[in-house]
Amino acid sequence: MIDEDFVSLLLKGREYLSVLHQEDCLTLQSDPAHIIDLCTHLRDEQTFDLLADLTAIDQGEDASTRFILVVHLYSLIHKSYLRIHVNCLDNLNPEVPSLSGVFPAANWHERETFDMFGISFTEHPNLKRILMWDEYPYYPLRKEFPLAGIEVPLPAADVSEVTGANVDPAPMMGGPFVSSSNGRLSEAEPRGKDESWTEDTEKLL
Amino acid sequence: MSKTVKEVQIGDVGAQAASRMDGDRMALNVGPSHPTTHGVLRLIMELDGDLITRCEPVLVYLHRGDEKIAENMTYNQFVPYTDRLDYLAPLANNVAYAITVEKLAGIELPERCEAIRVLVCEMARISSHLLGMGVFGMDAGAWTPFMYTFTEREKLYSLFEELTGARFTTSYTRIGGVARDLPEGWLSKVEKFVDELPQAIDEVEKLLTRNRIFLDRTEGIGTISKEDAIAFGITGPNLRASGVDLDLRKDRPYSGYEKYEFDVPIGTRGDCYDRYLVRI
Repeated sequence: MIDEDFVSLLLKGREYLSVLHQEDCLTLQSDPAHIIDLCTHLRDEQTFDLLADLTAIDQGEDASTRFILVVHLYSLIHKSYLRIHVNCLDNLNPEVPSLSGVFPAANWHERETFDMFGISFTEHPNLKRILMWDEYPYYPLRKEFPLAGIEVPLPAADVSEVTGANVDPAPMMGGPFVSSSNGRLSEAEPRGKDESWTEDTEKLL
Repeated sequence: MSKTVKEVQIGDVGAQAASRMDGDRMALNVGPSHPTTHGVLRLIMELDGDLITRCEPVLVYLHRGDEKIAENMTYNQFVPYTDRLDYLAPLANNVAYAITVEKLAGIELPERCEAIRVLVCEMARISSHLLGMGVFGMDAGAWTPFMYTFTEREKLYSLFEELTGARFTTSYTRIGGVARDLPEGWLSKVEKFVDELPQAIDEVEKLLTRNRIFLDRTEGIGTISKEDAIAFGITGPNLRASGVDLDLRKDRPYSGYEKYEFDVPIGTRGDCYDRYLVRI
């Protein structure tokens, strides 16, 4: 059972761990140095042996901790999820130990997180980009990366030499289905602006 | 021997693979295949005769950056994008996305809506499995079952069309509900379909389940052990085929799944044949 006893036993002797209050499942916050020990313990002693997801959150350039690694584990015995947040200490060159030695499933997830957020996983067996091409200069899921993309040279130098083509930003930027993620939802949603009809007053055709 | 290696050098990764060869092996590049085929995947393989000694998959030729798109949208605007995540079961994706957002917002749904969602989810599952088993048989050299499963799948798509207005890109859910109620007389059409389906499945089973050629090509092939399946984070029917009893509908019921009685088939060996059996 995932109850208070379980949590207090887990926290005992692990000063680096704390519990974050989240609605859906038990969420622990750890530091990068102890993450391998913690995950090995959870896998071998606590039956959390299925890595369901591994990704990251970019809190924005101004945040004190910019990148948070998020790991979801699942236990077949407890029939329950467990989430681990790892704050990356360095905002410019975020680095965490690789979990691919504990969960083989982490291998590709970490490559994707590296590719999209630029978080390096130390001791990863094959840390290279998985979605973008190897020489791609940006990390697309970072908050400052624009939706339309940024102009870069083609991955194939021999082709761009002949054609003179580049990878261009998408022309759809600012189109009808793009809303600002800031501000109130009712303002961002175009249909929310028309208040001439509601659930109570019928729309005039 | 070095001549063989030179002939197959394709791109940078192929060249890397070739440089590792010790002289007895050759590099073979498979794909990338066209987007209209099952999936776009490139495999750079190292062969020793007929044996694959090493394989490097190069994937995601169809990456669309849905996360970035979603960041720039309102919650309801993103629903059509979820259709395209798995285009064989768009209704299930719609429901999964809606439930996630509702959990975030703390929205509770009326019972009728939950029941409708379960109904369309299971219809999406059937349609996905019908296609999956049809093309599985076809890839293993059996053309005919494909015709049977596609006939049934066609009936399902007509039902989806009547319900959502679209056959493939359903966009049926909204945050907090579904786009429209069930059309009049639609449920009896579903019942008719459900009555007819087992006969069609029986026909497919007659053609495949004890088919010697099909057995030879699937039994003991691609075996994934229980431990490997968990370690590599496999989920769904592929995990259950390896003998792991994990079904979130039973273990962590959502959308009122706890009110329904159903059996969950579990495989024993985790080979291609078991992955066929748990679906059929």
